[in-house]
Amino acid sequence: MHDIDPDLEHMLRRAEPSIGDAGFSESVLRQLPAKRRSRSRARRWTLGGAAAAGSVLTMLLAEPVEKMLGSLAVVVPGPLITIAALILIVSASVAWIVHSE
Amino acid sequence: MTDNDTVLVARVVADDDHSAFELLVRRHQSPLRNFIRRLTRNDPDRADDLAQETFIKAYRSIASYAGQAKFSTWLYRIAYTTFLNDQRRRFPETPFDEAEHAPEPTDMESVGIEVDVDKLLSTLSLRQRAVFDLHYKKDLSHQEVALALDVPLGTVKSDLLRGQEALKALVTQRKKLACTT
Repeated sequence: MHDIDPDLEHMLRRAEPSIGDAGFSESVLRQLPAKRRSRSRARRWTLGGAAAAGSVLTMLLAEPVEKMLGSLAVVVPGPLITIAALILIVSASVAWIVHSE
Repeated sequence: MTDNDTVLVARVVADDDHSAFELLVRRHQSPLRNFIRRLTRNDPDRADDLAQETFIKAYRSIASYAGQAKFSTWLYRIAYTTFLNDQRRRFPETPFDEAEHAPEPTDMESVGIEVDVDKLLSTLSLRQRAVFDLHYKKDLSHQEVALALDVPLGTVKSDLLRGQEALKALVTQRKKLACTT
């Protein structure tokens, strides 16, 4: 074990003087990037709006599309298209949000 | 009641809470500025610029703070890297080797041993100054110092040992000088 001079150790361990803030913190805060909150809020509104619009469109278009597919004799259960469309809309919106965060 | 650093960091990460970050800055500005002043051999203006840059970098990358080390240790690491980058920018011609780490020539008369520990520490090499400051002034363990400076544990121990020997020789020399005058 290496011995350190007691005087030296005492001096090294002595508490250093505190530096007064004197506007330092404010200066740092001024240089921070703008808060993310507004961006996330906008993103949430966009997500909500897109999901709502997509759902309304799906509900409106589901029946005509089902009828059209029925007339073409394609064997696809009607509600399945609506459910698939809703899942697609929601998962695409969530994926977009996750990717952009 | 004051929130601990981890709680404040969580608030910054989750809500981008500037007031939580302000508390972190207020809490750590003095030791951080003292640390950088020691690295710059007491150049307060440059040290404060680097301290600001350190906090801004910390804010930008705060989500990467994993909480394994103390927040202050993480800050010292950013500060040390920021200082080294600045040093390279200022002295691009100087190869970053022993020359840059070399101790400053010592004028024994200027080292008032009882008065100015900063002058004493300024006789050490750059990395030794950082090691001594973090270990003795900030009370970091050897392991934490190694983490903060991104150097192996053995390097910290050898820097301390060599630095102690150098300072001990300086103190002894100073004491002899004091006795003869």
